[in-house]
Amino acid sequence: MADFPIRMRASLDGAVLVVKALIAHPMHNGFAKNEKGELIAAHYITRVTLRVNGEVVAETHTGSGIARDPLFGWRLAGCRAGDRIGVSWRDNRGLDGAKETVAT
Amino acid sequence: MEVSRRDVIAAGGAALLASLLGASAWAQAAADGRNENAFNARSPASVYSALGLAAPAESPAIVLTVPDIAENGASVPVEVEVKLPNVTRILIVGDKNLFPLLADAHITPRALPWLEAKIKLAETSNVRAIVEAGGKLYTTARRVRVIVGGCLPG
Repeated sequence: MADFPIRMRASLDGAVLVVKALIAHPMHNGFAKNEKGELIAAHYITRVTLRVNGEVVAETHTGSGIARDPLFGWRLAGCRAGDRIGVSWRDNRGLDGAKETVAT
Repeated sequence: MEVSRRDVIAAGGAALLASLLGASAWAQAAADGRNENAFNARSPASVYSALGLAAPAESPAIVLTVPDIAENGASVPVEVEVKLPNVTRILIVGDKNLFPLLADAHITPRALPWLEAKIKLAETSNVRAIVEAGGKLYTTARRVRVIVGGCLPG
């Protein structure tokens, strides 16, 4: 998924693990026009899933009203340094992407 | 584990019950599937009916952090912090957006009732957070003044 890179960070702040994920995605809502005045077809993320060591801990369903290159943040309890934190997404065209990082 | 015939029948009954309940919009939203009707709804009222949500009660326990003035409606940071136990779901709604439902976040007990996202706002309007906690619904709204709308560029 080189076209839609994810930048993410999972850092412990005391007992709380703060996870932030920045997903590169156009998030077209289908109303914008290109330079030629043609409508750009809707293309947006519909689902973002957060996993800790492979277990789903949060799932967000999203609409086209989420900003381009969206940022998502979560806070988790009961995590330790070294836990594998994964973010994955799927969009309305069936494309998907995922990235995993280690909690620090 | 040994599975008796009785267990199998009981499991079948539970599955049947679940499929019957699945007919209601509420169960659909609670299931794994994304509620397309709610995301395609064109007004906050139809979002609520598509989700099968009752009118939520205003609650000061939801801390909704948004800018008072957003110069660019294409990217408005939203932070929701909920000071209630047993939060299972946080929804973000932009009242005057063409498609008001922006995000529908389901969280498990391992995730704290906190959410951050960036949204688009079409025009100056209320941003609303709706929270489901212990089976009850709570809401709070904050008005954001939008200088340049973020949904119809150009």
